[in-house]
Amino acid sequence: MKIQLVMTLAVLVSAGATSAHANTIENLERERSVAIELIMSPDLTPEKRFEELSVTQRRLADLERAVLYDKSLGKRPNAQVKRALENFELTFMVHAAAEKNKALSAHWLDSVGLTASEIQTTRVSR
Amino acid sequence: MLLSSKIQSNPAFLTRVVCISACLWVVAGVSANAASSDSWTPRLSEKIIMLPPQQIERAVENDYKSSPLAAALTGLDGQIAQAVNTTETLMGMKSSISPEDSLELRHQIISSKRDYIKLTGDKLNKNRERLESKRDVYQNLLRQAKRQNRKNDGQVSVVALQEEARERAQKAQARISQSFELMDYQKPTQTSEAYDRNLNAIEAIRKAIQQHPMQSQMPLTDISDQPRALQAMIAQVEVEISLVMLEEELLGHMAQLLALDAMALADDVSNGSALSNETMASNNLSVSTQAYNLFADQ
Repeated sequence: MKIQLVMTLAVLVSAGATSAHANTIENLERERSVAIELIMSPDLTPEKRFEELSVTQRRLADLERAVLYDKSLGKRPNAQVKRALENFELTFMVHAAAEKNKALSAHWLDSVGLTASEIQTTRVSR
Repeated sequence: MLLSSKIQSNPAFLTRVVCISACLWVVAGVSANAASSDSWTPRLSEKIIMLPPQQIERAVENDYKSSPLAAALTGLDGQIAQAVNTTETLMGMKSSISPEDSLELRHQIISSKRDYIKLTGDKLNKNRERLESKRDVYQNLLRQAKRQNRKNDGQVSVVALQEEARERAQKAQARISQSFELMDYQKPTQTSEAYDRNLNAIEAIRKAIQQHPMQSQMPLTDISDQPRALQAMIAQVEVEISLVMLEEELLGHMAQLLALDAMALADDVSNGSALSNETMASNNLSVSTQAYNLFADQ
């Protein structure tokens, strides 16, 4: 009887032990926009960009893991969460870049379709 | 007509016939819904739906065992056994008793059988109550499981996507750590270290769970499998209820036979003869259960 009670409690505790972080996706989005801003910023020198991106990259890696292990996402599915999870390349930029063995900026530019040849073939117009 | 005139001259037999009729009334289930303090109101957490089917059955059974109904049924079992013993003892005395005491013995036997029928009727009613309560519990759990499954359908796709992303990320994790180590001017963040530590701990615990000897005996259940298991459990309870109904029918026949015996006894007393017990209809009855043989064997 006592064993059964303990087993029941264990099941209930494990069932109730869901993540309390509700905004992991939003936090990731915020940090991602910082990273993209750094990649796109024309005011930064290459060294400065690399240095700042390195810091952002670490934070991004942590936030990406927070999203990957956030069990509350499955309990409240919505379009934003689904879209974010479907698009691994752009949502989990640091992991996707590492998977392809590319720098973060190169990976992002590739993912949004900005290649060197495409940029060279563009023309300025009004 | 003969019977009515005899009963008029022997009011005591009228009482007996009324008693037997009361038995029939009991068995017919008129009193089945009588309010009783010996009831079972299941007090189970809705969370038991997450347990494996065997554990659910055990939890329901334990809840029942702690109820007043279980205690009442156990008490009735004892009383029924006592009634059976008394009847057997009295029937064993038939061969050695003098003809003048024979009528009194028959009366005692009928009285003892009446007690048996009443107690068995009570037991069947309570048993039916137990099974119906059990069925209600399973049906509630089934409704809950179906509701949960409907809710889960929307969640499954997100969980699957997350799982897929996690697998991809895990493969890239070593490369990320390596590239961060190359950036020797940046220390790993506290969060990053904590994640690594916790994930390693989770992995170790998962392995321990998989290797635990009790794991094979108590696998945690996927809730999507629960409706089928619960439906099987409800079907089993329904079968048990139909058995109780069959027993009620059998008891009804026994009560009817006993009423006929009482009427025959009333006739014999009126005629001043105890010989007609040799021709009683219940001699030809054959039933399998030992207690029911008491009625077949006059």
